[in-house]
Amino acid sequence: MINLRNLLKASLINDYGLNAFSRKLGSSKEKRKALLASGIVLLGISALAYTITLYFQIMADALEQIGYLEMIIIMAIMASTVMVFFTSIYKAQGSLFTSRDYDLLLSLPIKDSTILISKIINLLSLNWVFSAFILIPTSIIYFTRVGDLSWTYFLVLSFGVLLIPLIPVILASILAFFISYFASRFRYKNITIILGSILLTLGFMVSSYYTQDIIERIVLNSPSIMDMISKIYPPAAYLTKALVDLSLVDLLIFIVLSLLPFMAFILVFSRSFKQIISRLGESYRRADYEVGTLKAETPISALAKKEIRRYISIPIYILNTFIGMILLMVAAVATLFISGETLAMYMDIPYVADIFPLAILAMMGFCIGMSSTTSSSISLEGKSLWIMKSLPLRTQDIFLGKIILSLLVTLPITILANIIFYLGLDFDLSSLIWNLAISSLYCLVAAYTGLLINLYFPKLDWTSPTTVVKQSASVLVSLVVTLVTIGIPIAAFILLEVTKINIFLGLVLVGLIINLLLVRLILNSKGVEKFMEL
Amino acid sequence: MLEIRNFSKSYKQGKKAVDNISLKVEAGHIYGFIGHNGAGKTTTIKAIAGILDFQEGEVLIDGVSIKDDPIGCKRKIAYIPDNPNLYESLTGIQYLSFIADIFGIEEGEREALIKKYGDLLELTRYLGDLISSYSRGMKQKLVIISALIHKPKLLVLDEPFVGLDPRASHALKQVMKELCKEGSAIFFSTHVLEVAEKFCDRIAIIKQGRIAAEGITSEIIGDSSLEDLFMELTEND
Repeated sequence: MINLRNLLKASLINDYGLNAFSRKLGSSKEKRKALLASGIVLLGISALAYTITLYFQIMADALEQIGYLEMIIIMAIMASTVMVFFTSIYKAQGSLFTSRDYDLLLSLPIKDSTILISKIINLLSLNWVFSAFILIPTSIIYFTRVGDLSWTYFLVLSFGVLLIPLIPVILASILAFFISYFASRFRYKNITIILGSILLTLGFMVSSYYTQDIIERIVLNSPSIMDMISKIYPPAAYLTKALVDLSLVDLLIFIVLSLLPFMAFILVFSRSFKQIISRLGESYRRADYEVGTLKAETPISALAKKEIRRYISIPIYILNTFIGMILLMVAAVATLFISGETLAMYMDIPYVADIFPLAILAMMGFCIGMSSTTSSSISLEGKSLWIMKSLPLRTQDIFLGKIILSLLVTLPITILANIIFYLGLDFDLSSLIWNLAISSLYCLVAAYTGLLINLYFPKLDWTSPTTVVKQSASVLVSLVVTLVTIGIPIAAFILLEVTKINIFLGLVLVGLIINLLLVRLILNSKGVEKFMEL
Repeated sequence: MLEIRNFSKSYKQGKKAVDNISLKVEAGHIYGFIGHNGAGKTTTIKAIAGILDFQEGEVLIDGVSIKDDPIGCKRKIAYIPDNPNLYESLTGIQYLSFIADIFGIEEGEREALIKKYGDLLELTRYLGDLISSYSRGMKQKLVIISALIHKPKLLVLDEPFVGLDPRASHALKQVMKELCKEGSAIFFSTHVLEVAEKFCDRIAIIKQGRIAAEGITSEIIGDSSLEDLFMELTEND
């Protein structure tokens, strides 16, 4: 237990950069920066929680009228479970199987199971926060509407928040293990991991489309909602019953159902843990190289090539940044087979067909913002940053190499998707031109902004790239900035009830150009200084 | 070739890691920089290599301040750190090609130099493998090759012999002597006092961020040994 506590303490301090807050260790500048990052992230999360609360409030109104208020609890539990599962498949590969600190940890007199538990708790840490943000507001909505619940309700809720992520995290870890294990048998294991994970995600999406029929059948054949949920995902049913009926027996069953798979996983995996990570960490050395013809490149192309090679070598980096572009492409191709009318019918939003080009533009903006590689590209230099700093390179050229990678990831697919949407949804030519101009420009804005944010919030002392790509302040701040950048024009469009779309899009374009020039100016002045300070 | 004038570097809470040091390394000379762990050696070396930003003092490479013309200065320098963290996802040859591209080394020349130093350090056959599969010593050899292929006028090394096998260590010493004959200057830190004693034209002993002794090696040591002198100077640390 003491070892587990020490391991968790060390990884929490290192992964989340908590020393920056320390009165003794952090300089006032670092403390300010850490507080600013936390503030922005907290603001983003609060905005998200507020949106979720609002969404569930509206839903609760409707459900209360038909006497199904407990449905919001079920929906919150299911939403948490699905979200934790999907986000953990990618994270598990980096945090559980390829963490850099294993050489150190395995050399210490600590049980393998303790190391494994500490890694899983690390994996759970952010998921607890996300679950809490979904579950607590919805449960409070339920609590305020029912009114006669006691303190036991909050006790059950605490167990719920704590234990809901366990099963999806374990399932995701098992899947991640199989992908990693399968990939370790190939010479190009990183590419195998990337392809495996992308196929898995797409597979889930396709199968969830087909399972809708099955779920509909379960709904129709179930005498009650509770019965229906217990057939689909029993732990959710027990937790809902525990919350709604304040049943301690159901809570106990939920606890056992959540803890049993967790304990079984620890028991089974800790036995072969060392072999698994040794196997996954093995590298081939052919030792048969002979110096032949070597092609010379310009420094910029050498820098871009280096960025591309690193990008391909970190599966979590690709998965986190490329999945948005793949989904964009899948959505674009789907429009070739589904007509605009059918799509409008599915979306069930009034007049959606009239604003299809704008809706697609907003979606593209979101996908591009999520796909910017620059928000972690400085952090990923890690301990090899000395190479860049000691070479005779202009700092702006180093930045350019990183921006080129981001553009390579986002720009070609954005252009292609625009053309496919134009064909698939039968847009007029002016919509295509506006969408192409704005989305392409946004690729640049996202790349420059991500880089600037990373220079303000770098994390160079990482042990696994997962902590940089998934959990670093820079990535979270970039996410908030993306949401704000896309949210402002959307909000303006809705609130101002815009009818002159061309003028609106022209203003968006001008806004983006100003944004780009401003960020570029800051990057080339303050950004260069920040880089030198690293 | 290298001149440090009144260089100081302070870290958090105003603690001085290096306090007002000045020294000069002439072309064709080997200069040893000796001190305890934490004495300020790496801080000084990083400032020379242009990695560390500093406010007090000056570092001149071939008469030009590294602050005024960092890129021009870095073109003349090769830096070898004590712990070579490299791009693990690249192969050895990809890393060397990357460095050669940055320094604009022509194709024929880079092939010849990579082969020359690769063979000398017995690394050529591993150059097609990923750096992540290299041992520490192999990474050290790779950084040494990357430093030599652009024919630096100033070679700055931080504990260069740590991690090298005896053959590679011997080869590195030969290369360092060869570079000096060709007019380059070498500035390196070491804990191996025997190497410094036999190998360096001049030495400086740094103690708690200040130069405790500096000069021509034979004159500084006199009749005693470098080890005795070092122990004497650092006795109360």
